[in-house]
Amino acid sequence: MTIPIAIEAKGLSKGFQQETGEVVQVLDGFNLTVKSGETVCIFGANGCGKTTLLGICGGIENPDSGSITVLGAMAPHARVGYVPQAYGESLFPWMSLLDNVAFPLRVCGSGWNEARGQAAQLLQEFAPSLVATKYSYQYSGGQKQVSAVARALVASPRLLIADEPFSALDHSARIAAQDVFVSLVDRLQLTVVAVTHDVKDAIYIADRVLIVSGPPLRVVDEVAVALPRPRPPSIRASATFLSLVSRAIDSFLAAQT
Amino acid sequence: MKLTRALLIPVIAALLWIIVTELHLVSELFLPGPFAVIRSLFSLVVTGNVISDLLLTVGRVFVGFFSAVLIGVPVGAVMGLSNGVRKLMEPSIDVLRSIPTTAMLPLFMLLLGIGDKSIVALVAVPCLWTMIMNTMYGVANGSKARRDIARLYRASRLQTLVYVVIPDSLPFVVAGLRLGMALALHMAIAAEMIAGARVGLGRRLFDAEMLLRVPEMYALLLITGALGYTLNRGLVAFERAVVHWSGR
Repeated sequence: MTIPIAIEAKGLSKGFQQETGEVVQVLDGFNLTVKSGETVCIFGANGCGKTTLLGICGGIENPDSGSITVLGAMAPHARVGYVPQAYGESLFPWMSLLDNVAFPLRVCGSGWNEARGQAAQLLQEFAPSLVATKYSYQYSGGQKQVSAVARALVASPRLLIADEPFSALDHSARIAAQDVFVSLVDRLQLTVVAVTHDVKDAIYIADRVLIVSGPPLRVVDEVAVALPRPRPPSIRASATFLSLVSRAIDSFLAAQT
Repeated sequence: MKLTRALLIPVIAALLWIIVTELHLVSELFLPGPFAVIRSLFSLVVTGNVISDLLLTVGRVFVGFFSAVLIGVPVGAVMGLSNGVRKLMEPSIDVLRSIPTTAMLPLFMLLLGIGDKSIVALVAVPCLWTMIMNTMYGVANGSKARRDIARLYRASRLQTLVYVVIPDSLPFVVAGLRLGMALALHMAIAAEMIAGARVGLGRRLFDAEMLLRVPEMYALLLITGALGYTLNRGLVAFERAVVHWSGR
């Protein structure tokens, strides 16, 4: 049986004009295919175009040329959860955490009570330590990040796009959040495209890691992560995991030279 | 501790005032003693003479200020939401708000006559520019990250406006209210002095100076300062209650 395609991007190009008038070509004929249910992590240096690619996949940026089909529809589209890089700023400081998480359900047609009920249920599972009645500015960076991930998951998306979803978390919170994240992704059969600057994050959550450089963005290597799912936390200490980490780092370093 | 710190400079100033006047370092014609001013203040309040002036000034401030808010906030919001409207209106507004408001008094007196209407117009005009510009900037310069979230979840225009754009712009609007209120009181006092008002704090201040009732003039200055302080504290409390996230 053929696995359906979740994202098909062909020949994406996108340039940004600098203050000097010079145009920096961030994407130049970039292609990407992500299968349904697959988790793809993009690992590369700052400023190479990863966030722009995610913005286009999420429908919040338009390419200058090229085409993208997401979940069978031309972008922009519904059923996409998005964790932006500016996760803290993206939360609404005038709303409680519960209302922030409930927001996608509210704008998709649910009443506030129903939306809050579902949001509370998700928070109970994903971030039980957070007090849902507080405002987002009363939380730490890590707690805001967890809230942004919860908001992205609440509307049962089929595709989750995450820009450095664990970057603000300390080591133990990161491990815990990754475990919950991976189990939710498996349970909800989500397709995930995530950007990360931590190669261990990438190998732990992904089926495939794209090592990229740029601009313009290009894939310099692709690491297939043949680790079992569901992934036990102990897999991080296995020889296979460590050898995949080592290979990804080697490719990344080779791309920088 | 906080109160002690806040009172430190006023207490030092009062002591210096007593010393300067008791030693006759400055003529009483220019600086009467604090006790003479307090006596005058007490007399103004107890006889109720100043209350009608105070109420009239506050009334002019409120009518001018709220008229400006009622017109300025929607106009600023439309300019912030629509680039086309902004490009159409901003150059004209920039020219108009460059005219010193007091320079428009002769025009208002010609069009509206001498008295309350001209005073209220003089109060309203600078507040209007402030409300338009602050609201426009607040609406146009909201957080892109937050608007992206609304766009991603396909929020309707109305939902985006209600849940994202309006709350995001509120800190700018409320900052405009505070600026506008300060301007409104300044303009009301100035206009009462020069635009033919028969009553009002500005008129009374002017008369006290003209008739050399210097302690009364200082007492009226204290009342005017207290009024400005009270209006500002009221708006600060409003800001904390309504836009609790501002600056955090």
